[in-house]
Amino acid sequence: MIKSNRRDALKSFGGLAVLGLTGNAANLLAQAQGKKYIFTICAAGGANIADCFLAQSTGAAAYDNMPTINGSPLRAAPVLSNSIKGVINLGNGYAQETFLKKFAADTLVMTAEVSSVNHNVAGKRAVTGDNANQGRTLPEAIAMAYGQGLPLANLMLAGGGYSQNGDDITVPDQYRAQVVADPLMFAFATHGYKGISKLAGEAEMKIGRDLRQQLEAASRLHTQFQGGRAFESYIKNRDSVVEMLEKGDTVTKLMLLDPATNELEKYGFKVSADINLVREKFQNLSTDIFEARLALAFLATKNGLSNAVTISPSNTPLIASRGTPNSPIAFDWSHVDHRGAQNAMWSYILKGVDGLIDLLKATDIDGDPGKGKMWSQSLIYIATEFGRDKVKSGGSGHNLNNGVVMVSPLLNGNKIFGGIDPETALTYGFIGDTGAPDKTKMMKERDIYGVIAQAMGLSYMGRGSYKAVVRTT
Amino acid sequence: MKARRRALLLILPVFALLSASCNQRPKWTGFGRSSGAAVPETSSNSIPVASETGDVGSSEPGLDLVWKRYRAFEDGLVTGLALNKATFCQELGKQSCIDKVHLTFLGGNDPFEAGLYERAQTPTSITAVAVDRVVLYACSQRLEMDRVAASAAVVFKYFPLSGTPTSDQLKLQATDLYHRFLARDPEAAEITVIQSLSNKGLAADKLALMMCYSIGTSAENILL
Repeated sequence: MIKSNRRDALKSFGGLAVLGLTGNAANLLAQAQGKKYIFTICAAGGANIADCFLAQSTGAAAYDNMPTINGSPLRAAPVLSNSIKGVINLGNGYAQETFLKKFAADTLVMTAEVSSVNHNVAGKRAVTGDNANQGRTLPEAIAMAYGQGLPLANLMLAGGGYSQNGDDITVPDQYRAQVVADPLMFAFATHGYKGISKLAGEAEMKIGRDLRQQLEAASRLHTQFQGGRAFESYIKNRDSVVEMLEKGDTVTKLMLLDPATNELEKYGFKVSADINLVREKFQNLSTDIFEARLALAFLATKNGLSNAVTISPSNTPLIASRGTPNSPIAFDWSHVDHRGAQNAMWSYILKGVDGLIDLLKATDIDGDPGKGKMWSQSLIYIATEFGRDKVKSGGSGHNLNNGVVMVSPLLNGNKIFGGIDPETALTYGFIGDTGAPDKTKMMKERDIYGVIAQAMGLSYMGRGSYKAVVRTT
Repeated sequence: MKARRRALLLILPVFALLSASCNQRPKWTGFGRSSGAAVPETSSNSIPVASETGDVGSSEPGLDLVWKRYRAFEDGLVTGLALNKATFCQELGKQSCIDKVHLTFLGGNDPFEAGLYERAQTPTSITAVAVDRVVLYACSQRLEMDRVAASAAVVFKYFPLSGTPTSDQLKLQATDLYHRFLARDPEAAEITVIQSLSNKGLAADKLALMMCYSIGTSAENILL
């Protein structure tokens, strides 16, 4: 962990302390700076940085025929011809090089050595920074700071350890992860009565809901449990969030189902006005849950419902006649075929992120050109649990040593923070303030958390200083 | 006499020891914590913390309510309203509300397709919407079945669905719905509220549906 620079800490916290602002007050101050979005992409199963932007042409994990990336220290592994056991073609053919050509200026690698090789535990630590910030996950912290008033601020389109609540039980329920299993059908969960019965229209439901409120007020349950967190939270969500979602016509805004194959009109539903926009980038969204999640993430943020979205690929291969773009159990297929899994899954993840960035770059915040493009206030964190053994062939085990990819105009991109020993493919750390590589140093989960927090303008006790990593304009 | 006094002298200290150990037993303070588990340490910032798996302990009032999750919730509706479990709630007429579309919001999880190994600990922002939809589906289907069944109606049988119900009929219908959903008699105050519905100008079938909906989605049917 980076030790806090005293002067920097004073700068970070001194102003707030003088004003008497801590906790929620500090969050309010952060929010006053405007809207910010975090997209956590879960490279589930152990995405090895030495098989992506830290790929090497010599040493233990060397690649042959690496493409040349001009003007960038970032490297790209070539697209390999992969298959599952020689039977099913594996990979979508998307080149890491393509990603860097488009987005190198906003892309950085930060090395790290994590603290667990247990998928669930490590997944959770990837988003809590190993409890760096009182146990809050990054999406919880950023939803609290910049997602006030949003009905689904922290939208969870992922599973495993990434989807768990943080350990800070003071996080209000509205900033807890709203876990969604099926992105294509999620729209239905945003309207309490549409498409069910001709007897239940807006006027009837108003009477029914008023009746329920009166009945509850007269009940013993209400008297007995009023003031309890579970009871109050349920009632509050029901009375405020539901109305917000229904009045905002969220059900239409998030509707991703294809009207050609679903009887939407028969039930009174309409498809999202942005369906062609998201379909252009995510052409397989009807069958590929990762693409559907990315599409939903964009629609939820674009329409002012969420500002912290977590997205993971499916663990199940999407086998079609041409093969599958993703490996079974995602990056964890590396146990069987390291190169095949890493190469195919990095392509799969980066292609999805590519599409998401294009959409964010083309879209105004809140539809208001005066607020700038969504991308200008977005950060994409490609999170993973841990690295893999540094090998060229065969299967690989879990390895604590690794690094992560972040993409954002809020970061000092086109850089590697830390370094890699080409012979061993093991990474080492850096000095947070200067960015200078330091072979004696290892960054930890809390440093990854700290970098993102600093880039997003969040302060908390014990946060390190990572001035070199954050872009200053 | 002496023997009795000796016995008392032996028993009393044992009783006192037992009593003391009972007083030291940890108290139940809410769901999410295994019985007898140590209360988590508070951090230096006085923020209570929990375990790596996300289980959270709290002594706040109200947390000892139990969330009636998807299967119990479904069983209650199917049994209470005599419905077909497989078909009573399907979005777009084809996707199961309980097992698929609203599963996670109703307290379930999907380990295989979505990698969701854990269930939500408490109802989420969306739970109330899912509850509304599922109950409304259930009540609507029962209502239409009873409309067709006419004199053989099962639930909505206390007043004609095309007529105007009397106060007594409303009371009978409400009492039956309270039995079916909440397994208790309605309080007098609740009956009074129900009877005030007759002033709302709703057609009888809509009135019946809204009675069913309001009782079936009340917090008492979700949090036990």
